[in-house]
Amino acid sequence: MTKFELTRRNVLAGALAATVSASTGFKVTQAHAAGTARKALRVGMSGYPRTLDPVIATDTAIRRVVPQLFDTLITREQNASMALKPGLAERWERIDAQSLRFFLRQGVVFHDGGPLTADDVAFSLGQDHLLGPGRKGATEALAMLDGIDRIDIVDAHTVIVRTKGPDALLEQRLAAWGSEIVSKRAFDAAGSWEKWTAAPVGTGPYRFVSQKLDVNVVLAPHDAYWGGRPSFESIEYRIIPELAARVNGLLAGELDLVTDIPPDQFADVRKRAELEITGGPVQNIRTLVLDKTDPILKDPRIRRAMSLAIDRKLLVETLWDNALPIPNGYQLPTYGAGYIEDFPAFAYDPEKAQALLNEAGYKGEEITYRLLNNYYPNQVSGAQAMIAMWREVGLNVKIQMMENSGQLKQKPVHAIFDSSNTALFLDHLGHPWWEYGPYGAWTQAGVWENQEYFALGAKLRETVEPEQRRPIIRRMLEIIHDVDPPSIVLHVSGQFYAKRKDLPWLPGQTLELNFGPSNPGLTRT
Amino acid sequence: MLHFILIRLARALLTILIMVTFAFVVLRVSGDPVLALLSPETPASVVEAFRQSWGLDQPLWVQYLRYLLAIVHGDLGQSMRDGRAAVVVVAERIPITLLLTVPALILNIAIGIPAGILAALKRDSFVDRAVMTSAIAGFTVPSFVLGLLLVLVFAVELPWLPSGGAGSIQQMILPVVTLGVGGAAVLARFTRSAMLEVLGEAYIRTGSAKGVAWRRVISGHALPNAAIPILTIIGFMIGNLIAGTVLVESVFSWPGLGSLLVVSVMSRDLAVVQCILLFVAAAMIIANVLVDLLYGVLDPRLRGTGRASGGA
Repeated sequence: MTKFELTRRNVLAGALAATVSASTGFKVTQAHAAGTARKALRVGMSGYPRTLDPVIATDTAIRRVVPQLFDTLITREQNASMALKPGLAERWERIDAQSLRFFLRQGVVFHDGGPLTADDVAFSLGQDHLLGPGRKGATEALAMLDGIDRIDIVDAHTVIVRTKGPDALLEQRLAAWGSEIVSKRAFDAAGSWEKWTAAPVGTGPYRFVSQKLDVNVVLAPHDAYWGGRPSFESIEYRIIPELAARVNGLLAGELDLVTDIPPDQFADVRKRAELEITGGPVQNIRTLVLDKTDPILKDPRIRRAMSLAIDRKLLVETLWDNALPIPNGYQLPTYGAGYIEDFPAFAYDPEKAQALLNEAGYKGEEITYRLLNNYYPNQVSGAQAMIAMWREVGLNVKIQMMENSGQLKQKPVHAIFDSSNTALFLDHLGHPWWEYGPYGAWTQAGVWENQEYFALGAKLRETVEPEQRRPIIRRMLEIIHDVDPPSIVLHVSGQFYAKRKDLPWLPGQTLELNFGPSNPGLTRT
Repeated sequence: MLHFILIRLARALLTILIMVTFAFVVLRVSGDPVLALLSPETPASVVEAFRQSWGLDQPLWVQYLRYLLAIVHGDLGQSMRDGRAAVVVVAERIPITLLLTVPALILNIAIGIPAGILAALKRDSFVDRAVMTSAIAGFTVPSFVLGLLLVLVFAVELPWLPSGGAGSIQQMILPVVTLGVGGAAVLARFTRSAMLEVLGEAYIRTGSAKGVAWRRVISGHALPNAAIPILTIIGFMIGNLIAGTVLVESVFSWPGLGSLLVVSVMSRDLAVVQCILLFVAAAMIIANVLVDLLYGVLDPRLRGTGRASGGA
């Protein structure tokens, strides 16, 4: 509980301290033993992380904290390429289509001082951890890592990860959410999942200090970090759900960085010389899901017409300060060899839309748009703009306001609704397949299925050679864009932050926050 | 008196049962709690496992009966978001909310009653108009607007006070003022009306005609008679204060019951929402019983009846 000491001296001292701290901004706390002053970092974010173990859930709030606490065997460059690079494994090699050999770094220590060994890797990626509390399988990481068959320990610093079947993307999976390495010894010592998640132990650049539900999470630097000396004396994530309160905290000098800033706040923040807006597109695509079991939407020509009627460029310019790209298909350039560069861009063609509607015999029947009240930034204003665009070509779309995402899926859906999907790893199988594959969120919700797409996906999972994979991916893109669209891609999602200019941190292309020495902005601080 | 207490107790229990049932049904029929808590892209297998582990795969009536049975055994359930007992999650927020509501109530009374008395005594004067204009302004400005204005002035432009959070006296000032101003305005208006009504009574004129000092007439005759409607309003204000914390705690990131209620409703943390509603219902019922008892203290004619003839 919050502790108050109501003495006159404390009140006066507190008032003075509040005035001084508010006026000094980015706060220098104390000189570090190494001689360089480090600063306390105060981050205002919108949600509280309901767990700090990496396998249980992948909520944005969790992913903003977890990268400070844990490392993965393979990690990614924080640049435009997002290329894979060594993490806790200093190198790895393919043995065959079903196995990878990892050579662990020597001298890596956990926050409790214990050394990283092959046992920790075998535990972290093994069933006792991946299946979660009670081994019930209620973990989000399992959905991506359930292809792992076993971990063979070769010696204290060498492991072989084996999968149940051929898996061309195992490296990607082991660089993604949920594959962080935790301390087996600390987990065993905790004795229960509840105690473990209350104070998890990893090898990351910061160690856990405390957390208070809906108030804050506090971290301290892990000075023995293998990747270099952490830049901050401490990190405090303050939970501030209200946007206005977050922005005010930054304006008042009580915070150094705040998350989830919509474009309509950019101008107010930029008025202050000491503040700036940063961020941009992330590996997430905003879509409108279409229920093909709806009597009107079952005709793919109507779904295609809805897509052709949307002026995406205008939406991005007016609602997003022109700061977000429109992808060419449900894919991102960071997919690497799996990115189909010449796949056609989305067209804005109202005339063709009208022609398709006429061809389909559409007579103005009502299409329902189940809409949440700005669950996504600019959701309502975007919906209103699209309603007007659809009306221009003769489409009769009516908004039905909903309270939560559960209501969106209430059957029969017979509607369109908003969605956004983060790439679990950078490949078709880690992104659209995650939504539209046989076990995808919307397939499971019963609004779409396509047997050709499912068969191609199954084939893609077992295809290792990039040149053999590309034609499969191309056809899968054609199905979800033209042949039988399950959704309309709107644009790449964005994440924007407001921060003090004297904080050299740089955002990455994911929703995660990286305050470790691998952040390009913090490398030399 | 025993009969009165038993009837009040039975009514209180019935009120709590109705509210618990209402909350139980509304929270479940307005959306799947599991889908509200988990992100929309969560795999179906995880959703199903989560649903089973919390007993949400059972029919609604089974869940309801289990819930009532658990309450009877003193078990208010576990928070789906936090994993701890809901009563523990809620109990640790109560003192934090009281740190706002108690000073705000004191502020209401300390400003509202003297201002209302002053306005009544100086009826139709500049003072009266000034007090009533301020009261109308205080009453009509929504608390979240006032809160944001106070933050912009006293935290952003004049960095005298923190913009939010909890942990120090300074962080209490702006939310307490925000929460207190509206209630003080309401109380000032009601106090003025009650005083004006009493001041027009014959016994006040008689007291004055007898040569009793004006101050004594006010404190000895006018105020006690005006107190019953004022007390009734204060009873209602306790409920308003609790409701007001929902907005004020959000604006000031104050981690009390109000902000917990908002987050818990949004994430359908059923046990926590129901626990908060139980607490609020209990607080309202206790406040009303106390007000009823105080009627008897203030007006000897009401002793033994347990109810006020005057007031709202």
